[in-house]
Amino acid sequence: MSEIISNLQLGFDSVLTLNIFMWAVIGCGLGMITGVLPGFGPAAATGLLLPFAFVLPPTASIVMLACIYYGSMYGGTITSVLLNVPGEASSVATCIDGYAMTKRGMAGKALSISAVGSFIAGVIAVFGLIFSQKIAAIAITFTYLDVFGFSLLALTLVVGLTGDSMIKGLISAFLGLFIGMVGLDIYTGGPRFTMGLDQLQEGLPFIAIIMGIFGLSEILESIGGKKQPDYSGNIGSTLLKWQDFKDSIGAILRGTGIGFFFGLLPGSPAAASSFAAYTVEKRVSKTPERFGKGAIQGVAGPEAANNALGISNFIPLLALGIPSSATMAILLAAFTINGLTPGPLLFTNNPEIAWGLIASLALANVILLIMALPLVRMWVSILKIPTMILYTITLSFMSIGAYIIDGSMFSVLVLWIAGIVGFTLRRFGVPMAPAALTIVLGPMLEKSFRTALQVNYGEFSSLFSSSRANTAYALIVVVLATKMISSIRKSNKVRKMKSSAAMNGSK
Amino acid sequence: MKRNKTVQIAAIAVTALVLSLTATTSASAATAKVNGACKTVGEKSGTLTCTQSGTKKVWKTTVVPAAIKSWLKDCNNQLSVVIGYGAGGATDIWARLLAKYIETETGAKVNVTNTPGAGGSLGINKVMSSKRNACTLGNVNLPSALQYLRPTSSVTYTKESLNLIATTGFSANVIVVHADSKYNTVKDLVDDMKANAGRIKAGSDGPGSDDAIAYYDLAQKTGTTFTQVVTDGSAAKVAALLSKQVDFFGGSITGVKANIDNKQFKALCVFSDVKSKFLPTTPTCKEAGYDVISTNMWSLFTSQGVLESRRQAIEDMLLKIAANTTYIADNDKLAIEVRPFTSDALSEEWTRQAVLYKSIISKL
Repeated sequence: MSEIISNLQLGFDSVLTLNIFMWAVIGCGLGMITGVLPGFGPAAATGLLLPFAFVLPPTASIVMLACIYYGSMYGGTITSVLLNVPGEASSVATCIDGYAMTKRGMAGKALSISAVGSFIAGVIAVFGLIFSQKIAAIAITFTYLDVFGFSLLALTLVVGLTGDSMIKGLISAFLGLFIGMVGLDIYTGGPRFTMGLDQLQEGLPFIAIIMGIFGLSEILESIGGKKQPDYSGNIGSTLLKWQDFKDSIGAILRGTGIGFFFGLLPGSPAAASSFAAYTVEKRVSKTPERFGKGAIQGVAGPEAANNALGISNFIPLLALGIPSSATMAILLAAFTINGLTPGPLLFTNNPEIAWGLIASLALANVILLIMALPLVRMWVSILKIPTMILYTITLSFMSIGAYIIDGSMFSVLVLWIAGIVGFTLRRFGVPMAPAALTIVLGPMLEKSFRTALQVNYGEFSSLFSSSRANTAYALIVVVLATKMISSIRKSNKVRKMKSSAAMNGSK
Repeated sequence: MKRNKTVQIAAIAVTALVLSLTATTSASAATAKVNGACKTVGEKSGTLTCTQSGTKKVWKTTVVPAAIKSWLKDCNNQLSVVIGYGAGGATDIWARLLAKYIETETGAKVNVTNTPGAGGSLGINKVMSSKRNACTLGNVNLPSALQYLRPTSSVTYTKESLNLIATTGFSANVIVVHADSKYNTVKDLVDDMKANAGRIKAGSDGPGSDDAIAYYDLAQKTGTTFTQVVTDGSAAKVAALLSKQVDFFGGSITGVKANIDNKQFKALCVFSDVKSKFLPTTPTCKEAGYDVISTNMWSLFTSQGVLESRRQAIEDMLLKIAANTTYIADNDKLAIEVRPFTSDALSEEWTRQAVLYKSIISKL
């Protein structure tokens, strides 16, 4: 324990200087802006500023880049809550109840709870980072087979997102799975559903699709509605009440655990963890019917998961030298530019850097909370803009965001097509959340399944050779059985009510 | 309201500060060292590669050739480098570093944009269709660019569609095994591949990728077989080896040096004709008795139709940067070897690799 304290002291000593603090603040600020801009993700922002690593001292450059990444996790929420446009992939789940809260005049509260939830999750996750070497030693034992088991389990979560009609929910889920299949098959190199278009070889751009089916379809739906919505009076209080905090703390803690765990799984997409946190909240809630209509836990859980994942993503990098995302690969480059080698020896050879980074992430949480809470009122004031002008700005904003993804009009076209498809499906009452989940989970499931089989020489029986995977299969059975039992009970109840109503009528 | 304004002003100030720093913190230009005469094409001479016409001419720092002047004028001092890969990868980092030095050399603003997709071919297509003024340059990687030779490929370009400029970045692939592995030499590995035919697992980026081609070349030359485990990118390969789900893989030195330094992996042999300066104690596979070459070359090209004098001037400029000791030192930090190839030498190397690629791909 005393060793940990002295290491942390070393870390804080190296970052609590005016110079490093300034770079941390700049990084957090730039990260928030990056998160707000859809399409312009943290990888692009850190890549742009990587040359700083050649001229800045090691701690300053690494702290700045890490803060950009982490800041973007905070910033991505803003447009999800206010405009139903996810700033980055991990904010998709926040759209569901975050935007519903905005419609109910609770935009300020939604942004505040996401800032507070992110802060709490971040602080807890940083504590976990202290034990990164021990956690990484466990994380590296996860095989493709284990990832397959957990992906399959995560896929069953889709049941919690289906809404009133299971059939419509499944239509949405299958649409997402299909979208996730577009692109080159990495195992054979052959194109799948690419229609001969080079642009589709890497698959459909996730952010453009998500902006389309959530943000654009929402706008089209509103325009097509009888009365234009007016949010100008719907800003509400930005201050959280003690009751709000009490309602959310459980969601925040559960979200933290889920996000932290997903961050350790190799190849796990950030959006999957926030969806997992969302569906878990809906499942444990005593009032699941409030979800999708502005439940504060539906914002607190995914946001906590998102930020915990942001921190735990550092564990494979710091302890093993494995970059789990493009942004982490840039951070790895920043380390190597400075003659540092992330991995087991970093904590021995350069403890001031390793512990400095951990301390800087703790510091970033405080900086971002201080930055985020006062800015809530400023962000929320966007809603004062007349609806039609706001829609025009949002459309331009989304189109620019889609263009930034690959610097071509193709993603803009995808955005619009996704918007129209989303709008049409909404008209038939098909929920969009299952599709968003399966778009990210589908490829993860397929890759882990096929690679697990390759590792085991194609033997199907090997799929049951891992205790972790078997536990996941068992949980799937429990989840599905619970759902079936509750559905049967519900239908029996309805039948009883109908028959008693009929009996009363005949009397 | 007043507080909101203050916050807005502070945000603008921070952004402005960062942008101004970006503009001013470029490294100072270093003087170029031009090395001795060349004998054969492709031969290394100090830090420069020989061309058919002999020693490369490189202008002095103070004298800017007319072709460069007119180039910069046409481009309004705004150049663009299109990368066919995403941010954060080795290509992206190599290009951003090179862009910094092009800025220093020309005084122009160089924007690096990522157009990832289709194994780099979307970026290549974008550059191919750009104006014939060389204001847009693009990266082309060998052997990844050879994907057009695959029967299932829908890629439309060939070598002739590209106006090659020069290569600066180079990284050989190295066979690595887990630190706990029973293999200490590549011979141990090959012997085990013989003894346990098809049971030794190699992490790969997919069929037709540079590592898979090298494995098949090795297997063919040693009469062995193996199981290919396809992973999603180099980080996934590293994770697969650390978790011992694969027995070995071939990765660029740039990508695995950190793991070797950390003693997580052992390097068995380098797929190159000469020893790597980053792994001085690791033999080449050729030295170990297995003549397999597998490398990565990062080059720049532009669209066809650009004035030859202009293309040549850009090539000269890149070779000058490649001779810059500061540039080399910066690349060293990233474990990227600066091994320049002129356009002619690059073209020859392309042809050589294409022949090998076709011969292996036809047997897959």
